[in-house]
Amino acid sequence: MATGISLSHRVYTQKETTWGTIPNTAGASTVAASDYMKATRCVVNAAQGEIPDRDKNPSGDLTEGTPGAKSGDWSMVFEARPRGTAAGRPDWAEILESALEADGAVNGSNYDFSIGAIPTIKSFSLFQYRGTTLASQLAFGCVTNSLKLVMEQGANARFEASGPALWVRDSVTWATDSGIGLGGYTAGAQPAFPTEPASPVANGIPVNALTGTATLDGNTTVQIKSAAVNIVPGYEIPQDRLFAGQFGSSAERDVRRCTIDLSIVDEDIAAVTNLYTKARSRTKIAITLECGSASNNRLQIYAASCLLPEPKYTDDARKWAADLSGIICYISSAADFRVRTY
Amino acid sequence: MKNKYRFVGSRTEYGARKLTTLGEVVELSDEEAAGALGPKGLPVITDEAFQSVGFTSEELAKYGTHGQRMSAPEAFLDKFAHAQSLIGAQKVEVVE
Repeated sequence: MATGISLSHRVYTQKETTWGTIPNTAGASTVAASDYMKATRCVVNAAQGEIPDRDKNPSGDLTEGTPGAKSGDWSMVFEARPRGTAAGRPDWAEILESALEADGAVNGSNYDFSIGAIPTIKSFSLFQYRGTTLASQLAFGCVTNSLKLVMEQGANARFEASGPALWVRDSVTWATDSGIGLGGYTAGAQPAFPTEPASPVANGIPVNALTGTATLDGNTTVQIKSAAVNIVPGYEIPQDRLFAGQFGSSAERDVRRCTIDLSIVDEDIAAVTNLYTKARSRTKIAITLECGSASNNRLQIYAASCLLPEPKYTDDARKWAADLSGIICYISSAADFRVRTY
Repeated sequence: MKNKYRFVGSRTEYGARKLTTLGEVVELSDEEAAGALGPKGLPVITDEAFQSVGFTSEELAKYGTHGQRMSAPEAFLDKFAHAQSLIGAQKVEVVE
């Protein structure tokens, strides 16, 4: 018998060319050492619905129902590490691409993630190896339903991401999957859970927001206590189709909402009062948040057209602060919202 | 047979190894290179390419790590950027 130390946990992501199809060569896994990404936490769950037998049962006890829909979900927390090289693709690119619905791209010495046109499903497969004989898991057809970049005192900038998956296979029940549940692998070519690649590669140094710059409507003097950027495409894998089997149908998205939450020090300087004035007049502003200061190890969020909420003044610290949560980022072209490592 | 590569990234974990210093040697067989190189792979270039950049041993000693490079002169940073630009060229070779 063996237990496992959770520090041994490793996560790999592979971009899917076709939603719900794990990248493969002739039905066999292609997961590679370079697909590894570091994570603080990763949870993958499979779910099998139970459709209850609703007819009356004179005994008063539950009667076994029938098998319902099969689905999966995933959630991760990981630090925002740029790759550390000019125009380098960060290890977490697939998750961001899924949230923004566009492929990341080299832009000079930057690596940019811009916003994509809809509907553009960018999905990925998520492998987690727990470093022991405990079950390894493979979620496929993963889409990012919610992505949050958190910048706060005393912590590196981190992403919190989650979303649905078409299905989750695992090493213990590997042979029981069939059809769509194979994820594009074939039983002959991939008879067991893919072996973890030797010598996984993870790149980059975490960034924090102690260094860097926040530019709000052209001003860089606003004192910011905490910031978060939220990207919510609202993806769901619908399970409302009859005569289509137990698995969900192709991922669907909802209205994409990109918002920014800021907590700032309340001051009477023009840079701050300008924000209150722009909030009251509903005049949109541009916001740029840059974490880090070392070349190729910086992370930048840019939103061109942001509608500020009325400030909520708070006295929960020694100095008055203003809560500007729920700044709405309006997007009318790919250039209006961008995540950049550089 | 293994080929000799040199590290040109900031900080990388490669299996149990922690690569932190410019020019660190990484030896890879063709099979290992196929899995470890690529867009999200090891930021390394061939030894030959590394030598062509012309880092001096003094530069490598003074500015070898990410922290040391924060105060590196422009001339060194230009060389460093050139070395990193060679990662892509090498990637194409590997793919072919």
